[in-house]
Amino acid sequence: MGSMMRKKTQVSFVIRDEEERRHKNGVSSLQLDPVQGRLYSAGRDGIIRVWHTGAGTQDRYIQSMEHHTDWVNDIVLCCGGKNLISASSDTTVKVWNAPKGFCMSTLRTHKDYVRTLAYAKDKEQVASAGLDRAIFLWDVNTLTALTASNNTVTTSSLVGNKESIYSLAMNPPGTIIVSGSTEKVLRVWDPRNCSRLMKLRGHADNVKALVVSRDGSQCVSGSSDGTIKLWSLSQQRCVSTIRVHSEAVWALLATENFSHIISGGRDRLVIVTELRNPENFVIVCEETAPILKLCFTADQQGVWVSTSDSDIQCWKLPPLTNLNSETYYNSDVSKTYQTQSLYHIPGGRAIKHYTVLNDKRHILTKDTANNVVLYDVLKACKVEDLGEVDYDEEIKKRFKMVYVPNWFNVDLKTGMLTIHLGQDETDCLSAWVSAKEAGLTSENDQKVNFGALLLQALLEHWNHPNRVNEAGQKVIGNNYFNVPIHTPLIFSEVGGRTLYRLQVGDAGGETEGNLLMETVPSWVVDVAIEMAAPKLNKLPFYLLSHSSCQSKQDRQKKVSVTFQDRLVANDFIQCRKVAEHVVEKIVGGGDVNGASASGKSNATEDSGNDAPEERVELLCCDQVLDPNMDLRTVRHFIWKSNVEFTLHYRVSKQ
Amino acid sequence: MPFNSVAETTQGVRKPKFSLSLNRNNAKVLSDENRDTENKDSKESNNNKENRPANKRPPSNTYSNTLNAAKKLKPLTKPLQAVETQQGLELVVVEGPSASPAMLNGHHQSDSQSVGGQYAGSAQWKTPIATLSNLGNTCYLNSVLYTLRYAPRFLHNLHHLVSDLASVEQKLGSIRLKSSSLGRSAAGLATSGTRSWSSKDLLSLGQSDSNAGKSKIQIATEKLHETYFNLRAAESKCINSSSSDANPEPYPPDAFLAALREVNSTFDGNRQQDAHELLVCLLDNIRETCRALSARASRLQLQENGDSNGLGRQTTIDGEGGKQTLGNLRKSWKKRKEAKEARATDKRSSPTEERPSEHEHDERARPGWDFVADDFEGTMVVRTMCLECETVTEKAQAVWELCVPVGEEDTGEEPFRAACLSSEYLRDQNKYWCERCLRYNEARRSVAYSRLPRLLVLQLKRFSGGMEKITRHAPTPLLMPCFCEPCAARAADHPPAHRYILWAVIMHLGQTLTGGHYVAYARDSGGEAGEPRCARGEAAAPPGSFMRTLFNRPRAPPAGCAARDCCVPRARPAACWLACDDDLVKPISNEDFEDLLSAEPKMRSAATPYLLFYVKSEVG
Repeated sequence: MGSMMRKKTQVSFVIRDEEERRHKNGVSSLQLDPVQGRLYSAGRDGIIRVWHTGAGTQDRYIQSMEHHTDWVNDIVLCCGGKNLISASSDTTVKVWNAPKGFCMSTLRTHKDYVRTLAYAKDKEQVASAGLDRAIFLWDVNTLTALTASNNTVTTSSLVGNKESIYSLAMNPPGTIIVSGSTEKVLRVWDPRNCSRLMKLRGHADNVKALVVSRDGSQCVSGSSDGTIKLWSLSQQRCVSTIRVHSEAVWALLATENFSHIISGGRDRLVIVTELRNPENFVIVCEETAPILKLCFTADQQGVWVSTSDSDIQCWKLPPLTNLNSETYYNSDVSKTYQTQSLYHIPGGRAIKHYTVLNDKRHILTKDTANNVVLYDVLKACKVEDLGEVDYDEEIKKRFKMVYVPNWFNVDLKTGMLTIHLGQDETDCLSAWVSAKEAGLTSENDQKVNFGALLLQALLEHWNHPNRVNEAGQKVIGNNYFNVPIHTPLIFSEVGGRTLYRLQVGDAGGETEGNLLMETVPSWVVDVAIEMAAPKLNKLPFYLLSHSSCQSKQDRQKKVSVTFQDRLVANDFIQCRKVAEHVVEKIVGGGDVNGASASGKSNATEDSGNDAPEERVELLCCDQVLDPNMDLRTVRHFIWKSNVEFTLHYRVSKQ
Repeated sequence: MPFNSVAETTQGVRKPKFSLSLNRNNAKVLSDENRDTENKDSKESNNNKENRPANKRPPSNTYSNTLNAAKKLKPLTKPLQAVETQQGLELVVVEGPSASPAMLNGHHQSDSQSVGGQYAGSAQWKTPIATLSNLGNTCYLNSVLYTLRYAPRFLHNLHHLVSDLASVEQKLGSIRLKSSSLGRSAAGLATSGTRSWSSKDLLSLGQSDSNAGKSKIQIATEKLHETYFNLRAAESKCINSSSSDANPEPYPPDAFLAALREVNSTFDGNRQQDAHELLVCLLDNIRETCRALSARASRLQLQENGDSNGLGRQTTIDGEGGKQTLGNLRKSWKKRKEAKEARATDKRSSPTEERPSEHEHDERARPGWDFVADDFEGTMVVRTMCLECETVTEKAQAVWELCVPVGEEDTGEEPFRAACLSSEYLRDQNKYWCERCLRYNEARRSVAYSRLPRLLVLQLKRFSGGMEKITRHAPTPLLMPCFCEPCAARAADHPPAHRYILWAVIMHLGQTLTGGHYVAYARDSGGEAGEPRCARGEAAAPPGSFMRTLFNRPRAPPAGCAARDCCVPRARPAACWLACDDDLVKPISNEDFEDLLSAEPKMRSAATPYLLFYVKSEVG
C-alpha cells in the first residue's frame, strides 16, 4: 500500500480531559450566528468551541468541535449557520455541521499552514489561502454534499502570489477577492473568472487583515507596519493611511456601510475610526493580550474580541454618529471608552513549560497561571495537580539517578500536552524497563518496553484481523493498563501534515479500522497487534580487573585487550548481573581467592550465604556501583561518555 | 641591558646603524580623506631634487635640525654602546621635530583641506620604498604586511602598543630588581622630561629582557613591529646614501614569520596560505598582546601601590578579565566608557570620529588599549521576527570582516550594501521555532550592522563549494556610502553620516583556490600614517600621576609621537597607489589602478580582488 516515496508516519496523542470546556490557548477567529445567538470561536488549541451569547451569566459553553490537530487559524459560518468551514495549521480545511458540531469532510489541498479564509455570502463561496501561497476557491454547497464515496471536489485556484498569504477578503457577491501577504502588496482577483485585476503597493510589511466593501470598490488593509490603509479598488490607489495603532494591525472589522473601521492588533487596543475622517477615532478598550479577531454582536452595538490569550470578551461600542475622541475619554483615569467588558468568556490555561523526568515516563508542566501538574505519559493521563508551587523545586525533588533512553517528544503548540512517539522502531521502542520498578507488576525480572506498551494500549480497540495468537485467542491491549478512550490519537507525516486523527475508543468502528489499515506504519502493527517483541538494546563494555588496571588511561596503555574483556549486554541489566558473571566466569575459577576454589556450579545456584554482589564489587571510574543500578545508568551518570564504556571488578575483602 | 643579543641576527646589527636618521620627518595629520599635497612636498624637497618647489610656507628648519642631530648621533653607530649613552643622545634627537610645532599645525590644516589631492606625477617615484623579499610562498604574508604598513594609523597604534609593553615590562623588572642596571636605566628614563620612546629602546628592550619570560604572542607582535621598523630603516638608509635613486634591499620578514609560526602552526612549512587567515591571525595576536599588556599594567599599578588616578578603573577590569572572553572584556570597557560619557557629555562616542572625545583619548592612551577591536571590529545584529506573534529576538555579535559573495547579478551603486544587509524569510521546510508560540512559524531574519569599524575589511567570497574559484568581476568602488544602521536608516535624500574610502586591495592571481599569488595594492597617503594629534601626547595626565611617571609623557603639547620616526613608512611627496608584489613595489597612477579594478581592464590580468580595505570617513 502507499507509494514507495511515502514519508515516515509519526504517531502522536494528546493528554487531556475528556471535555475541555475552555480554550487552552489563543483564539484566532470568531463567527457569530445571529439567528441562534451562538458564537463560534477557533482556538489555537485545535478546538472550535460554541457559546451562547445571550444575556445572563449562565455557563455559555455549548460544545466543542474537535478534529483539527493544530492551531485553527480561521473559521467562516456559512449556509445561514448550517455549516462552518475551518482552516488550520495542520494544513487542512474542514467542513463542519455547525449545529451538531461534527466534521463532515476534510480538504487536504494545501501543502502548508492554512492561514485565512474569505466568504462570499451571496454565492456561498469560500476561499482558503495560506503559507503555501495558493488560494483555492470552494463552492460550499459542493463541499457539504461530499460523502465518503463521492469525495472529489473541483476547485479553482488563484495563482500569482509569490509569498505566504496571511489575509484574504471577498465581498458578499463574490466579485472581488483580495489577498495580503509577506510580499507587502495587495493582490486583487475577480473570482468569477480567476483573472488577476491589480496589485496594490504601499505597505511596508506583512498584511494580516483585510476587508472589502460590499460593492467591491473599496478595501481596507491592516499591516504589521502598524498602519491601516483605505484603498480605492476602482481607482487602484491608496486613498488614506490611518495611523491609530502603535504596533502591527492584526484584525479589522468594517461597518456594513463602510463608514467606520474597527481595528485591533499587537498594541492590544480596539479602536474605532471614521474611515473618511481618520482623525475621528475612539479607543474602545484595552485588552490584556494582542488582538487576533473582532466580530460584531447581533445588534452591532458591541464587538466580540479574541486575543492570543484564551479569554473572549464582548465590549460596548461608542455611538458611531458622533465619534469624537474628546467626548468619551474618562479624563485622566483611562483613555479608553470602556474599562469593563459586557460579557466575558473565561479561557483556560495553556501549558508553557515542561520537563521530562529521568524515568522518561513522567512530565512536570507549568501553565500560564504557574500551575504545576504531573503527567504520566505511559498511561496518557494527569497524575497530580500540584497547584502554584515552585516548579524548579518540584523538578529537583523528583530527580532520580536513573537513565532511560528517550522514546517520545513533547509538543506544547496547542497549549495542551501532545506527545509524539519516536519516529521509528529504534526510537520509539528504545525504553526497556523493569516492570516491577515501573509499578506495573510485583513479579521480579520482567522487562517491559514503554513504547510497545503504550502503542498496544492506544490501539487496543482496533479490530485488526491479525489480532489472534497461536492459540486462536484474541489478544487485546497490554496486560497492565488502558489509556483513556477519549485520548486523541494522531497519525501524521513527520514534521508535517496530519494524515488521520481519531479517539482511542473509536478505533473499533469499521470506517476507522479501514483508515487505520491505510495509515498505521507496519512496525506499529507488529508491536501493537502482532505483539512482536521489540529489539533489545545491546550495550558493549569492557570488564577488567580493578587491581591490574585502575583507570582509563592505564587501560589504554595496555597494548592489547583480550577479547574476553569485551562484553555485550542488554542496556537495562543491573550491576548485580555483571557481578554474577564475574563470580561465575572469572573469579569462580578459583585463581584469585584460594578460599573459594570451588567449581562454577556452587558459585551460582546454592550461594545462599553470600550473594555474588557481596563477593565482587563493581567499579566505574573508581566509584563503587550499586548492584541495583543498570548499565545504561552507570554509563550515563558515571562514565559520561558513549565510547569505551569500562567497568572494573574487585573481589571484596572478607 | 645585555646588548649582545642584538648582534645575534643580521637585522640586529643593522638596526642601530640606521636608527640615527630616524627623526627627520614630521607626523602628519591623519584625515581619513587626506592626500598629501604641496605642503608635504616642501618638506621633502630637500631630499628629492625633482620635487616641485616649496610653496608659500617658508621651509622650516627641521631638516637642518635633523641633520645636526644625525651628525651628533653618528659616532653611535660604530660601536654598540651602553644603553645610558644611547638614550642620552636619543633624547636630543627627538627635540628636532618638536622644535617646529607650526609645521605640524600647518600640516593639519592643509591635510584637512586637501581632500582628493591628485597624483603628483612621476617625479616622486624616486622616493625609495622598502620591499619585502619572498621567503618561499610567502606572498600571502608580504601582501598583508604591505597592506597594514599603509593602514591609516595602524602602525602608530602598533608602535605605542610595543613601546608601552616594553615600558611596563621594564618597570615591572625594575621593581623586581631594584639594584640591577635595568633598574637604573628605568630610573633614568623616568626622570627624562621630554623624551618619547624610540624604536631603539624598544628593540633593545624587546630583546634584552630574555624572551623566555614572554609569551609567543607578545614576541610575534614585537617582531611585527620590528619588521616595520626595519622597512622604515631601509628607506632611511637610501635617502641618506648619496645616490638618490638607490633602491632599498628587499627585507626578509623571516623573524616575524618564525615568531608567527610559534604562535600558529598553520603557517608552518612553505605552503601557500590564505592571506585572510593570516590577517585574522595577526590581528588576533595583537589583541592578545593588548590584553596581556593591560593585565600587566594593572599589576604594575598594584605593585606600585601608589596613586591610582590613572589606572584605578583598570584594576577591576583585569580582575574580572582573567577568564573573560575578549568580547566580554571589550563590552565591560565599553560599558564603563559609555557610562562615563553619559555622565560627562551627551556626545555620541565613536572611536572613528575625527576628533575623539577626552575620554577616548584617555582610553587610547591607556596601556593595552585594544586598538584592533576599535579599528577592525564591527557589530552585526541579527534579528528574527516570528510572523505570528511578531516578537523580535536580537543577537549581536562582533564581526571582523564582512564576507561578500561574488554573486550573479550586479547590484549597482552600492555593491556590498545589499549583500551585507540581508533579510530573508524562514519558511517552508525551514520554519523558525518560536519560543513564545512554542511552535514552528514563519519568520523574517535580517542582518544589520549597528556599528562598522574604522577600518573595514571586505572578503570577497570567491568559493563555489569546490576548489574552483569564481573569477567573475566584482565591482570595487573607491568610495562607498556607509551602511551601518544609523546611516542605513536615514531617509533617501539624506546622505549617510560616514562613507568608506578604499585604501588597499589584496588581489589573488590564479584560477584555483589552492594556489596562486597575492599582490597588494595600497594607497600611500603621502605621509606617515601617524595620528595627527597623538592621544599619547595630549593625555592630560595630572602631575605625578601613574600614567605620567610610567610613560614619561611630556606635559607640553608634543610634536607628535615617536611612532613616525620609528616604524611608519617614510613620507611620500604625494599620495599614490603602490603596487606591492613581494620585492617589487612601485607607484602606479590612479588611472592604472582604476583600470585594474574595472570589469574590462586594459591591462588584462588574472588578478581578482580578494580582500578590500576601506577606511571610514565622516561626511561633512
